[in-house]
Amino acid sequence: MLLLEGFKNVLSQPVTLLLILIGDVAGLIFGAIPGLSAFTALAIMLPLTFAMQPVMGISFLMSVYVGGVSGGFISAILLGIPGTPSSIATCFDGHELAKRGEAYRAMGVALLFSFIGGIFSAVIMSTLAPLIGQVALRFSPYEYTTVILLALTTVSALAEGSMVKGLLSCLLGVSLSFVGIDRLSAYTRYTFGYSSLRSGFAIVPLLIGLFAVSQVLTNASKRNSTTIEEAEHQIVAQKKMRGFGISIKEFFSALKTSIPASIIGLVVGILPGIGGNIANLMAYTFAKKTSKTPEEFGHGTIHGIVAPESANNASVGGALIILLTLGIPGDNATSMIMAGFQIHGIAPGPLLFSSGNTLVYAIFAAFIIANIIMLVSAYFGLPLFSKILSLRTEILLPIVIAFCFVGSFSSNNRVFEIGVMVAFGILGFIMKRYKYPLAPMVVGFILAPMLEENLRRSLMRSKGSFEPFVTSPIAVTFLVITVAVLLFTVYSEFKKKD
Amino acid sequence: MKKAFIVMLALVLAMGIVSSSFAADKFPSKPIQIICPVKAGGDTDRNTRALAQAMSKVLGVPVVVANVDGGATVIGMEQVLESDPDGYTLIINGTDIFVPKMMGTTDVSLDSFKTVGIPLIDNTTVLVVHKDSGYKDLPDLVAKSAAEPDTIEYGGKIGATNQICGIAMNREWKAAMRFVDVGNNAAKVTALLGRQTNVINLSYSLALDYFKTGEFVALCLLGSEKNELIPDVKLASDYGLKNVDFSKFFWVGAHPNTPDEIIDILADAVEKASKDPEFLAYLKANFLTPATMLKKDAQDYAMKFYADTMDIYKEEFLAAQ
Repeated sequence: MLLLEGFKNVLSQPVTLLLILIGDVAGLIFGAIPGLSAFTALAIMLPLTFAMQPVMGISFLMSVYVGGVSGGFISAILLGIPGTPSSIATCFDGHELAKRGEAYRAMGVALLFSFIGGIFSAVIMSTLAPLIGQVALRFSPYEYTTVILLALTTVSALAEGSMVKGLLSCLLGVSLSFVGIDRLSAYTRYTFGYSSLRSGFAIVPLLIGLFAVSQVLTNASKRNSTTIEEAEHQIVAQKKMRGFGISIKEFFSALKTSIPASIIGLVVGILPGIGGNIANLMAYTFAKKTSKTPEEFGHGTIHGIVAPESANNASVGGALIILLTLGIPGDNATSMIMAGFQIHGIAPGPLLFSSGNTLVYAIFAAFIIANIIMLVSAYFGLPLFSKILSLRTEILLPIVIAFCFVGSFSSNNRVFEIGVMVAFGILGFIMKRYKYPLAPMVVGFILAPMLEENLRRSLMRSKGSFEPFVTSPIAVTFLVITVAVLLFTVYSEFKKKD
Repeated sequence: MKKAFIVMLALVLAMGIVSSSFAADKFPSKPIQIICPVKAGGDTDRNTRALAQAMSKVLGVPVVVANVDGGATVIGMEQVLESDPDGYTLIINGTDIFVPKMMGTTDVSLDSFKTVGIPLIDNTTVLVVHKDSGYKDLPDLVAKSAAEPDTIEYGGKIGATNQICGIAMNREWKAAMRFVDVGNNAAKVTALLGRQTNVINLSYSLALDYFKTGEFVALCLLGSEKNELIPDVKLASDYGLKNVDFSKFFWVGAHPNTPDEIIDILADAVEKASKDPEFLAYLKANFLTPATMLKKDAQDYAMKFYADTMDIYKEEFLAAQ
């Protein structure tokens, strides 16, 4: 009933709906541009809300957040470049579909299941938030270590083709993550006396280089040998479609993939610091491993889009639960949301629900409405987005590269980041040419520092003993699942060989 | 012809000098950038934005905050050292500024810059336990820790001022708490809420709700002076123990070769900003203490603070890494 009150609060002024629409669209655009993310969008839009009434300001911020997390699929599908880290897995099948002329369908599916993931987490959030907050508190470094170990096993599903190449790629990511000041003891590693390297490689320029720049380089090297007339022919004719591009039957079969993916997204989103970046990859892996037709993954199956897109939007709800119930921001984007809430007189934390502040329910309502408006507005945008693919590559790619430079620089206001992007672009180009998959490298790069940090923290606490890993029920559960996944992977690899 | 050329050249040069001094008179004539050497979203970032807004009102040009994260604030500081010494790129930092040099990873420190001023002091660092921990007050915690050395955990971030604070508390109070790395502020709150650690230090405003519900208990203020905005939190000296001061100053600096006239203009702006009603309201809402220390005074304060509260624990801090 309080939720209805929240809806009344948000809907009482039509201007709020307009603001949500603007926020959604702005967020989508930021999310779609490689290097700019929900965080960048929020950082820029936050000051705009100062003059707004609390309900309007909050609704606007929520819509920017929802749009920003969703927008990543657009560039992932159209260009094979993840707009944000949380849409890496969307590239695998999304871009394959686009190459077959089914970009519209791929985007329709991505949009629809972003919406479903978002609504799923919204429902859980508005009913179970305080309870879930308490469970999250049970996670100490021991439990974190084991969750991250489990997440690392996703690599096995991302190793397209050769498992050895996949693992090598992952290890390269792990090694690169060690560059810079060690997060625990501030010891400088692998900087070779070069002081700019002390900050290590940042994820945003690394990702843009690896996926976007390498893609542009690959296209450019192909184009070199063709004439303009031939190039005109290379543009894939996009099939005309209506609705979301899938039948009712396909929808229900996709829903079966979407539900576990949303749960994974929600759970991973709840854990501060892990979030959407990993959720989309874990959900993709889960969908592939449990699929009856795993061989279709990576070659353009809609399930390969459904899983990551449901998961990354569900992780938003997870992150918001922790923010609202415990007052703890899990990542950059949520810390911006928290700043926004505080400006509008909402102090996220344990007292939020008991203080009788009805604005909490306005947040829930705004989150749900933002998801609905996102669905509708992006739906009308679909034909427009697919038009991008009819642009000739020599017009499209320079634009993409320009955005890459802007995105890399603005990620940390440093020219050095542009250099990092170019270097990883070349590395990505070489890796692609020799058929080393790129995603395992990103997984290694993101997870290795987290694993190191939590493992060292655990051992510092237990004075070097590994015992707590097997005495904590939560940790032991994750360990068992990790071992099971490993054994299963090894088994199926051997079976493939026979 | 040659003469005419020399005269012209001299004229051009003179115009150059005139126009550049004219530009100095007009400082600032374009937006000023403040580099915040940590990520957006934390308390340092929040303070920087509040100051930028107030300074912008005084100077009449936009004052923009740019976050340059990395290398325990060193990357942001180096960016300012590499910029033009024209006063258009400023740096902010706090007590953490001393840590990288202490650890020997860099030579860059507060005295690598010209100090513009210190417009606020964060005297809100409190020592916190969970209400279920059973520690009545500060002497109780100290006594229990001394009786059973290394059993009571003090959670914080390793290689940061909070670790030095742990060393200081143990030495000055003859306590024997065990330092364990927990992580940043958000992680500290989580750890204490989940009763995964026993004691943390924290800025008061970061866990306001938990103090209100009584779930968290602030045992003492880690400062040298009482904070009137947090009247119920006592100082260590109220219990007859030595004060361990881990208040944080908020410092604004500029490139070391910035002309003094420009530093004067900036310092004047910081002074006026620190008295701006909106800025003061912001400070009050966050329990922060206004300050108006400028240039040399501010630098002397900061260096003395380092000598009194950090440098004396340096050996033990380095040994613990």
